[in-house]
Amino acid sequence: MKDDRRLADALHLCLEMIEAGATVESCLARYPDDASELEPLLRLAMVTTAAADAPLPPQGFRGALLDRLFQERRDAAARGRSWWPGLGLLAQPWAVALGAVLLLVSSGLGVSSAAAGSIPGEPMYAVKSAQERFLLVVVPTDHGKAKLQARLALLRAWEMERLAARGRSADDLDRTAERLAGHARQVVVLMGGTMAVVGPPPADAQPAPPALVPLPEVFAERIDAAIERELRARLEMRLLLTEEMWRQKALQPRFLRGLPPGQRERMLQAYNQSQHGLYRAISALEQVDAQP
Amino acid sequence: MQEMESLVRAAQGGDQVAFGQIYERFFDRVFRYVAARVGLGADAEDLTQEVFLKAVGSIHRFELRGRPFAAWLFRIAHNVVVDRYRRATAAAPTLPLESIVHAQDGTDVEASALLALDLEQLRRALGQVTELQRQVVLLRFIGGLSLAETGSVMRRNENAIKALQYSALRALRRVLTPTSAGTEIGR
Repeated sequence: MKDDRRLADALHLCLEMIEAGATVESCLARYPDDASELEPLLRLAMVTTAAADAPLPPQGFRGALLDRLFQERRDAAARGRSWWPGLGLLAQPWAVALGAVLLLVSSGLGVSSAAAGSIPGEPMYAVKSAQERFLLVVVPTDHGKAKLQARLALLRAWEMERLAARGRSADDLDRTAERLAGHARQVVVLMGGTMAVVGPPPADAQPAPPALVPLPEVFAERIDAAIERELRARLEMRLLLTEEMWRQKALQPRFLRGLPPGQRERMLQAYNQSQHGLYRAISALEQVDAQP
Repeated sequence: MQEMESLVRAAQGGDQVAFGQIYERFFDRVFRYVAARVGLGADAEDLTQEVFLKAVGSIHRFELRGRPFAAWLFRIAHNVVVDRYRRATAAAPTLPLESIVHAQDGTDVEASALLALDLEQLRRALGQVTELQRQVVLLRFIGGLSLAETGSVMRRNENAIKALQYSALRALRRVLTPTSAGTEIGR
């Protein structure tokens, strides 16, 4: 019994060490008398974690479920449940001002600019992520949040290219491409659309440029100002995302040529994932506008 | 930890973006946890959906000063999976051992069996250990919860979880590598 307790403690310590980046061997070296007992258990723990790493649901399920969850929340709000007290508070001018002051302070310390140029895996990236999250909270309107999400999608594209150019891992690239698609999805949701209605893009998807004037002039006078603001906001989002899609398509061949062969393939996958996300978001926004 | 708190607080206040970030952070872990219990396929997708629907419906009741958010979410996942088993009166997966361990050349069975394990093999093997052992493996190694978070889900203290973690891995090892059973019993 006493042995079991000691071994349970040692096992846990080793698991923590391995999680922090240590090797099995380095941990076993601390417990030479128990190494034969601990080693198979540690390896089994690692294999168990790895077994669950691979499987993921079919493509599209993740996004469709998120859309459904957002819809649930909208329905709940419509039923009169109060989902918005916190946002109401954050919409207060003093809260926005406080946010601006905090950002200025952090810029003054020189943290902000260093963080802005960081990419995933670098120490300052945590600061950059925290700033983005903060901004997403303090921006009071859905339009403002959508615009910020669209800008963040472009920022993720820039990070993808820096990651590839610096030969960083495929995992970092995949995660960043996934986040890019996530930002695009949030744009759609915040603008009142859903990705669930959009299928996968065709092989060579290339959306047409969105019309600069969303509705014929003859209707313009009759349009409620709020509706017009929404139309223009969606148009702006579509323009931003479409421009990014075109930019990636135009620069992709040249950028890929500059990478070593192994990295080229990874970056191509990341590009494809990002284009997929952008295309679906643009299509979803088009469908919102197409609704009567 | 604080970052998660602020996200949860924002989500409770109705911030969809914050909820979306929480979802992105936990989706893979919850899906894998569920899939390790019920197998890949439509069931895993349905139950994952149920977990998040319950979470979205009750996040406003979650108390930040109570248990960690991950523990709260995985408690929902645990209950959803257990409910499904109850409804379907389906026994936990208990397929025969010979279907779990394929590499039986008699020379180095343990090394071969532990070299690689897919989710289905793991699921079958977990069907051969006790419910508590299964829970601790799923929460710690599939769900990626800390000792404290696992303790919070299972309503046990950290020392108890440490002991369970040890006994669970030993039991799983016995299931996956039958030749080690004699050695284990002899201890």
